[in-house]
Order: sequence, then C-alpha cells, then structure tokens
Amino acid sequence: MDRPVRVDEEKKEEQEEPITLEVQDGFIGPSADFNQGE
Amino acid sequence: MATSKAAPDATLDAFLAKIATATKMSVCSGASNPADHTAVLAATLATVAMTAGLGNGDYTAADDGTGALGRKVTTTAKNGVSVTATGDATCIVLEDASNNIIYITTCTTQTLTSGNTVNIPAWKIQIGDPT
Repeated sequence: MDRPVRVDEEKKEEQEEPITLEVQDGFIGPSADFNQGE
Repeated sequence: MATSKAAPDATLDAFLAKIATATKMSVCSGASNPADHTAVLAATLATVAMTAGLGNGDYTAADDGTGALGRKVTTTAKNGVSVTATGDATCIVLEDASNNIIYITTCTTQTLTSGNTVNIPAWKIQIGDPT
C-alpha cells in the first residue's frame, strides 16, 4: 500500500548578504597653497 | 624657541562637535550632492539613526593617528541597515534633528536593492592643525 508523500512546497527565500559600502573619509585642513595666495 | 601657528584640541573639537549633532545618516543615490532635506529624502536608499554627541554618542573624537594632522571624529559602524529603495549608492549624508545637512561624504558606487540590508562601516572626518 502506497503511503501518501508529503511535498513541502515552502520555499525558503534566500536573503542576500548585506552589501558593505566603501565610504571615503573627509579631510578638512589648510590646502597646500593656502599660504601662497595674495 | 620660535612661535608657531596652533589651535588647541578644544578649538578643533568645536567643529567636530557640530558634525556630531547629526542624528541620522542616509545612504543616497545621485550624481550630485543633494541640496536640501527634500532632495535627501528623494535620493535616500537607506537611513539609520545616529546618537548625537561628540564622545558620548555615535561619534568618537581623537587625535589623528599620526599625531601630526589635528583631530578627527569617527562614526560608529552601522550594520544591517534596511534598504528602502533600489538604486546606486553614491554618497552618505549626515543630517541633524532639524533636517539640516551637516556633512556629505562619498562612497564607492554600489547598487542597493530594496528589501536587502547594507553595512555602513565607520568613517572619519579629520580637521588639520594650522600650518
């Protein structure tokens, strides 16, 4: 006698790995020619 | 001993403290900087809250690592931030509680997809000693 076969139709959604941004640092300071002005 | 140009840490930190008033950090798209909060909202792909306060929030102040380039503020890394819109991330915007833009920096262009998450690593803003 055949047993009923249960088919698990649940689909697991794959979550993508988080993207890691490459963020640029900022620098605020006297420019090289700051003292070469007028 | 000769005189020299100088700015005490407290002077430089006053600038860094202004940066640390930002209460949110947004990852934005676009080829140019958003001009105001409305533009930030339109370009936002992901936003995360920041705890304001230099040294007691998500902003750490310290001497530059070399000891010769003034002071820096470093933001806390924010991982697993929900992406709420799909687009190419091009910049990071800090805004204060009144939605004033405090600072904008750039990031390497990367495509973000709504529903995923993004990691924003720690980054810094450095202000140099007078020369």
